[in-house]
Amino acid sequence: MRNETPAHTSADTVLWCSGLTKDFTDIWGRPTVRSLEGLNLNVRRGEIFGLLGPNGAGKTTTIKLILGLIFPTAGEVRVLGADPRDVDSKQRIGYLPEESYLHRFLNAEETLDLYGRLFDLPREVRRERAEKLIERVGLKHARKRPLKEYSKGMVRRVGLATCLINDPDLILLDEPTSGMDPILSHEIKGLILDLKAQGKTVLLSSHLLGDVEDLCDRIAMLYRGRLQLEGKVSELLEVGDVTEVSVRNLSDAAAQAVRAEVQRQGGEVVGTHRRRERLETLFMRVVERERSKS
Amino acid sequence: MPVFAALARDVNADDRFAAIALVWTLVGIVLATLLWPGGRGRRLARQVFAVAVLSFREGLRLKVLYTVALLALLLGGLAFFTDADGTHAGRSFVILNYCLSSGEVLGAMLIVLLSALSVAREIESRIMHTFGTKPIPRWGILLGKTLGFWAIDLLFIAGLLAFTAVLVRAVPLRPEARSAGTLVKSGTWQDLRRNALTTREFEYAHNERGGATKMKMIKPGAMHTWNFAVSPQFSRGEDVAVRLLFSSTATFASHIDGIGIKIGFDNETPLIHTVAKVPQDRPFELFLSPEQLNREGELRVMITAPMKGRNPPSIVGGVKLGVAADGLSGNLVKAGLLIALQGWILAVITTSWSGVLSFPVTVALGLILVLGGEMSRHALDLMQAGAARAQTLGIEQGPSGLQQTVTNQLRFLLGLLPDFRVAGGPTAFVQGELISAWAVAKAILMMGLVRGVGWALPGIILFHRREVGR
Repeated sequence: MRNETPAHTSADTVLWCSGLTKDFTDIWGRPTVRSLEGLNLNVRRGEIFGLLGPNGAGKTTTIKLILGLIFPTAGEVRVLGADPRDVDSKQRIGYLPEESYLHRFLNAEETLDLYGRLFDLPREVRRERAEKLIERVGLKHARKRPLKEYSKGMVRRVGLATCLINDPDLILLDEPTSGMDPILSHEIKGLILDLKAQGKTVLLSSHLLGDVEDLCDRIAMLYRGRLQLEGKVSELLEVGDVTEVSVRNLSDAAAQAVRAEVQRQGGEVVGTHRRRERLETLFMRVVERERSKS
Repeated sequence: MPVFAALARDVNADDRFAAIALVWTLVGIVLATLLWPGGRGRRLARQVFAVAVLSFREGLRLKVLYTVALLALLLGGLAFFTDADGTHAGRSFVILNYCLSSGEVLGAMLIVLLSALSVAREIESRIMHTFGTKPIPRWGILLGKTLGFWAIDLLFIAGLLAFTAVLVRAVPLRPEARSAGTLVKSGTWQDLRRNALTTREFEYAHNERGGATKMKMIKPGAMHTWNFAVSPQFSRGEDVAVRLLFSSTATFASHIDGIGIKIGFDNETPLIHTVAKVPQDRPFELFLSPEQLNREGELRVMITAPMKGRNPPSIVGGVKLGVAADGLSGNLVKAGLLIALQGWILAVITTSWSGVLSFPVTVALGLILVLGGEMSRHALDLMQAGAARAQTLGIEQGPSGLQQTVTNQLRFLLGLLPDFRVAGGPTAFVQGELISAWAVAKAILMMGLVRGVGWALPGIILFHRREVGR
């Protein structure tokens, strides 16, 4: 029964949790804290699913349960139709932990080769993918240096590359942009969108709301171990009774006329303001400009 | 003399065959599973190998390896500069004893420290968060780590054995074996090899009832004869050692004077006939050439105890005939194999438990297994030696009931521990006794498969069920 997907999930379901509960216990087995309570989730193929919540909400616990690193107190999990402890299903999963825990005496190439070997990839495939991924995460210049000489962000990039070495179908990213500068953070977000374009499923855990909003199709919000809400980002963020109209080159007089017309039609102008750019967009533009100069 | 050529004689041939066949069958099954083309086992073998290579590289970086290696070299070097009893054989024994014993003990410490570090530290440092999410079963991770650390142990053992061989060969040879100030024989490499570096397969004398005579009490002035059947093939073309062991019931002196030794065939001129001052409680050997034994017949070794005083002490004597078996290189290889087997068992046990226990607790467990087992075994040896000596000396009142009970219970408890001396190991080599293929097979079976796996299994099962992501 371990490899069978429950009958009530669709063929598109990549990840399914039902009533997932986790109590952490002390050395005598007595429960000390309930980290997760009755979580139900259904992540579908090809979507980017965000797990949102403040610190201690249960995001990382959920991911560890999905990966079989810890075991549920109650409830059930199915990952790619199999039990999380099923060894074969792990062949199709990529995981980037909250912090990249890697062997510091290996260099980037050796690290990728090691994880490629654990996925039993042929030598040529390992070499080819390692080369592409190292280039993709921008570490080509430092590929031969041991990880102990890397900055936190560089180690994080290697972690991301190892997460993708097996060309996984399901990718679990726990705070993927943590410790990264805005440039790399932007690139990582681009990479995640690329993965989606390739038909991969991504489960993204983060408390950086901007990242989640930019990337995710659907989200689940956790607070103190309980699921608070779940749904499409576009639907959840929609304010039903407010309509925004963006206009370019509108004079003050014309703006006044529009305001009067709105009121005449029975509407209420909540506010008018100049459109602002996002700080990330501004930052990236400046960086790109300087890059192009050099 | 080919390595592993000779087999022990005190084991039923069918049992011996069955044991060796079982070991090789198991090895064959494991190899077939791992190497079957396209099989799941083959994939697993590659994954395990990847973990092993990683552990090997990790182990090479740790200072514990170099500290232990340096300590072993220092101990070996120290032995080289020890004069011992002044003979070549004595110096070689000390070198072999220091080097092999330090190899055994330090090798065990090395493997315990390396393997106790492995999984426990990776769980604490959370590397297991990444590692444990890859498609390799947990027991495969343990096996890979075990193999990696064991490879380091093998490297250490190989280096130590090479160092030992160099030291033994470097013993400066000089004239020795003087009698009343006259040089009897010069020290040559051949002498040293024959006296100290060749292990032997020993034959006990047969008594009238067809049994073996090992030790015998000889009253003052009396004589006892040990009989050995020999044939032209008996010597295997090498010198045969007559090994003698004496102890006195009256003195603890290092030597006993006035022991009559006569060795020869009936109604013929004795091959050796002397009255000698012999060492007490230490075996010594007299050699017979193959030419002297190139015949069918009954070789008699007659020992006469000295007549002294009004109420003189008795002499406890033992005689056995040793046929040359393995030389220095063969013996070093076997001793190395047995030390390596011990390392493997420890690696399997400690690595398995390191997935469940913290690093310090795992180290403590390993040390208890190695040192605790060895020390209690020595205590047991002492208790048994006392009882055996009492019986040998003819004291009617044997060991007390309580002592016997305690000894038996201790023996049972120790029987549950991995028995690191089950095959004799380096000690047997130093004592000049053949480490037989049977002994090695028995060590693999009993120490490796039964006790080693038995101790490791709970650790493997618990690690399989353990949450590594907390």
